[in-house]
Amino acid sequence: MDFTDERQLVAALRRRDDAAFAWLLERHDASLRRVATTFVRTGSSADEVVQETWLAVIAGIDRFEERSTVKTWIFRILMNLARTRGVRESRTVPFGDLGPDPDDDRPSFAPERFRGRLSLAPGHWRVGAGPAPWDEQPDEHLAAAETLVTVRQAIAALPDRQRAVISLRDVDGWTAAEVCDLLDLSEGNQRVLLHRARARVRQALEDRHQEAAR
Amino acid sequence: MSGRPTPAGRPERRPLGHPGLVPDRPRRGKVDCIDFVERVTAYLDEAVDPDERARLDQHLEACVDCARVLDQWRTVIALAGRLGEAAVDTIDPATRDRLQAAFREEPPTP
Repeated sequence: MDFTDERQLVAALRRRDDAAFAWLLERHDASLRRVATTFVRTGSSADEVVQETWLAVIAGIDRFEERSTVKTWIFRILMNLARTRGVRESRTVPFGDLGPDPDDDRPSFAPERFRGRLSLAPGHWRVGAGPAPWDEQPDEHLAAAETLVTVRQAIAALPDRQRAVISLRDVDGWTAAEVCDLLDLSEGNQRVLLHRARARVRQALEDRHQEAAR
Repeated sequence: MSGRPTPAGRPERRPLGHPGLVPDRPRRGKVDCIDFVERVTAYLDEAVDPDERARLDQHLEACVDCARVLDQWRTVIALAGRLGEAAVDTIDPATRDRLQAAFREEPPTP
């Protein structure tokens, strides 16, 4: 059975095929939790919202109209439930037309790392201020469990919207269009948030490398 | 945008002549390092027009540091993808069983 085929997946879910639902849980549960934490205050609230989402999926699968993908449908359910709960917990909903977070327009690298306007090569890296070479051996780098911990912590520390966008795009592999659609962002805003998020994760890796080198 | 207070209330220092380093704004004219580093995500998403792409490529060829920034961006993306594969925050078995049971017992809609 190929559950990546939407028709087969929906048909199997309607037959109450255990394997189909197990596949859905496996595929989306962690990612649902990552998105949920951007809307609610605590991890346990997030767990509850994700469980409510699954129960709504179970109750609604027979009425699912296949106008979107199953994935988008599930995440929309999550967003609605999370928004409602976020309002109840009086946490600001961080998406939609609320404008940019002031935190979102920080530059990717500290401005001091570049030469000023009056220098010989304005806007170029100052000597020694370029990116530290922490990824000389990419394979080795990718393998280090410690490195992944740094990445995880850096993502966890991001402002909400940046965290949601990088989680979906880079951790879960969503397309830009899917993320814009789910989070109600313009393509441009989505890209700004993603760029800022990646810049901070990069900086965290550079910092860790430099600490280790000392 | 320059001088806009950061959340900490401290105005941010930006080099003269480079106000508003917005990643979503295409760079016209000559590309300097300070411009390049804000365009990496757009570059990788192929959200730059052919003219700007040519200028970014030209800069990349001439600048080792910016080429390294591009590599590091790719590494960040790969590492984040590893987190997704690692899936350490998988659903706990009790919850899974409960949901599987609820699924099995959901009566089919006629």
